Amino acid sequence: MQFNSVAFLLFAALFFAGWPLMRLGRSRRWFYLTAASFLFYGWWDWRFLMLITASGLIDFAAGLLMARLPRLKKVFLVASILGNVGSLAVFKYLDFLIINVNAIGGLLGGTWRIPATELILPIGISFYTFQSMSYTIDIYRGKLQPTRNVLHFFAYLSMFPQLVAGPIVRAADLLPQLAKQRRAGEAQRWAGLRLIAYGFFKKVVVADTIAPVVREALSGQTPLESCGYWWIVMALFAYQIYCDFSGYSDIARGLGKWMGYEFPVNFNHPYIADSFQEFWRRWHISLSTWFRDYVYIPLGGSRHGRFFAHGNMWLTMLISGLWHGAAWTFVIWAAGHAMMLSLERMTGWPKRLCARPLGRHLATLLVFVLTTILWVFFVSRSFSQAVAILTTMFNFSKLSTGWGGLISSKAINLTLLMMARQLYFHFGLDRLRWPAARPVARLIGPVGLAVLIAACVLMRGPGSTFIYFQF
Amino acid sequence: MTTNKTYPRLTIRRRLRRFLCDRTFWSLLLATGLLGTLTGLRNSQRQGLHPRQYDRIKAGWHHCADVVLIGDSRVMCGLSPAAMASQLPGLRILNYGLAGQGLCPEVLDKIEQLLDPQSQRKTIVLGLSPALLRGGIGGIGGEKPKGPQSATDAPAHQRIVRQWFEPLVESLDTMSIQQILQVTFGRTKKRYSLKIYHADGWMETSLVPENRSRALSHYIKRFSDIAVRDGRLLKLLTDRIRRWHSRGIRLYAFRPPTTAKMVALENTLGGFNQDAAVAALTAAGGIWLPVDQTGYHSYDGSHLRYDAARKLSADLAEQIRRAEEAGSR
Repeated sequence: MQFNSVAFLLFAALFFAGWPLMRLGRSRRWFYLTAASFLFYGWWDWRFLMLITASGLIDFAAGLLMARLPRLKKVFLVASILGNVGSLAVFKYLDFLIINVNAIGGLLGGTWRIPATELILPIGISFYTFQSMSYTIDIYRGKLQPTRNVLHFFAYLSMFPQLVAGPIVRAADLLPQLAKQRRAGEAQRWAGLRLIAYGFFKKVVVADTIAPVVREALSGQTPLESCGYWWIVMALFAYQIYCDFSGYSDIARGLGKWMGYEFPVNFNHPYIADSFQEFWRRWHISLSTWFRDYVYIPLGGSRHGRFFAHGNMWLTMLISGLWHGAAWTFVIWAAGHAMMLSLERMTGWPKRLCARPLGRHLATLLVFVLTTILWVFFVSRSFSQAVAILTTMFNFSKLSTGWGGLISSKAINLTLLMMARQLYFHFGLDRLRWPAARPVARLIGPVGLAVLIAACVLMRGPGSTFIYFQF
Repeated sequence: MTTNKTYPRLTIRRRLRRFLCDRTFWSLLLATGLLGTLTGLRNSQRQGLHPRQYDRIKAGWHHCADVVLIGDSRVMCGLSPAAMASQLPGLRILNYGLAGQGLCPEVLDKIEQLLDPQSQRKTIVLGLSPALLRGGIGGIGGEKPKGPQSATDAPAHQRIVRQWFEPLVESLDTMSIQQILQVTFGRTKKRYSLKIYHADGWMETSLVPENRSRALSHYIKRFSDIAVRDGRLLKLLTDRIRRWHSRGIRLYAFRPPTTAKMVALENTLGGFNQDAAVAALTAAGGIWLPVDQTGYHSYDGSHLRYDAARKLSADLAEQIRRAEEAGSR
């Protein structure tokens, strides 16, 4: 079920009504968490449960066997990785491979066609397989002791708040938390509610209001020939995807806090980054660090010289691109980012620019503009559409023709509001000391949050699914 | 293994104090109060049906009409069955216009099913706007037909929850900031769009202030992408009209009026050939009703304002009545 659905509100109300009692006993807690998470996930389609169960059981068994037979632990690790990558390959990448094989066959004059499997992509498969892999890899590396209780393992793997769209939580971080009986205090509940309310605001008010504008822009076969229109649409998309995805992460973290658990921060105001390196330290942090720890560093990282460091970074970025979707546009999007990161490493332009007066602001603006341009490949349905949009964006002779009425003022206003919030952090206003502890602040807080919750309900955009569910 | 913490038992007084200092509790309570007040005030001022109720009613129609009005949003907003009833007394008239509708066999089947098989005067009134022949949604090779769905596609457990909580979701319908200010302080809105949903399928609409070129950019974008595919869709339509004709179902067609700019756009960029369409429809047994294309007031360059919609409905009904009388003589 989706967070922005009545079914979820009902589910959450029932879950948290039972949680104070169910969290007290260890087995009871793990069973309750697992059962609730399976209900949450199976709500979409009960068949999805078979895959997560099979994938989880392989990793649970691999973890136990690695501890029992340390000599063969490499074999069990390979089996675990093959199981996870194999399920991803079948459900996510098989049709992509078939399309490409058919295309190459066609180019070589072949008349045969392999039929596409058209398998349903289980929601959140990329997230939970990565989470599951981190469990076995950490056991292999000796960083984690395997759990012997299958319920404990599934409570970790299927934990409903972050199951389908992250943040990707490492077993080493969450399993010890699950083992303890934790009670959310007043401050933790309050912080949780703030995250949930703000996450919902970002998703249902901002992202869902922008979504129809972007959908309409991309719906045609030929893009509207207006440079100004496309720059605005792409800036809107930059905030749509940010609010959509970080909104989900905030809600997940907030729900975790209500249970007494802490999930890692997944987004840290990415559009105030003054370099691409900084951007990736702020955007989808749990995935970036996952790729760093389980792909980039094992490949050799920067230990074998500059050339190999660039190569490893490119390979990691390209795999990350494919993780986002089985299409060449995602690979090109990732290659664009890799190119920017390489340029940064070679020239060090962000550091040089930031050293000049107003340089940091200029660097931030530049990174945002370049990121927005690269989003074109991410959002486009095909390479040809991306090229057509980019051509239009840089055809400055048609700056403002014919798009009046196509972009709602509400979408623009909400984007400006989010931009203003990013600037608040960019200029360090969050570091100023606000009188948070004063009684007035304690009164204003709940009133402000109540208004935000009411805004989420009354000012929500046309409902749509979370973008990252498709990954 | 980690050990579980034990917490000291709290007295009832301390529990109560802690509860009253809980900001989460107060936030949720205030939010509930705020939502209840605003939606209560708004719902008490609502005119007509709730949009979801309107959709449900439309989706539930089956073998219940003598006259069915079909087309896209221009028919949905532009024809009032109540206004037509004065010229066509005793007939059950329903407006089955759907926003963004295109033609496809599924939609035409559904339209046929709306008519009462026992009716002696089975009539279909088609608003043939060029966008209807453009393809796209509901068109040949286009997306699935749009319209009031009964949500039967969703699994049973999802449908049950949806049904149970439908009234709650309806009462928590969205509001703009202007609406919130209006219901809270009674402030008259300077800019608003009026939408009143009627049980007979008419959607009464208007926009303040009016913007008679608002729809143009949307249509330029749509027509740049796919122009009217008269050939394929017209054939589909004329084949169906022949079938209806053989079953005693009369078909009247007209081009929904709009602004002069929009008509010009539809004829040029849209590629709509009205003469060819009229010839094909009449050859198939349909009756074309001429309508002054710019004689009715449009508020956004596409749809008619409610008073113009009533006038058009009465004018069309009169034309149909005359045609019926001429036919019976």
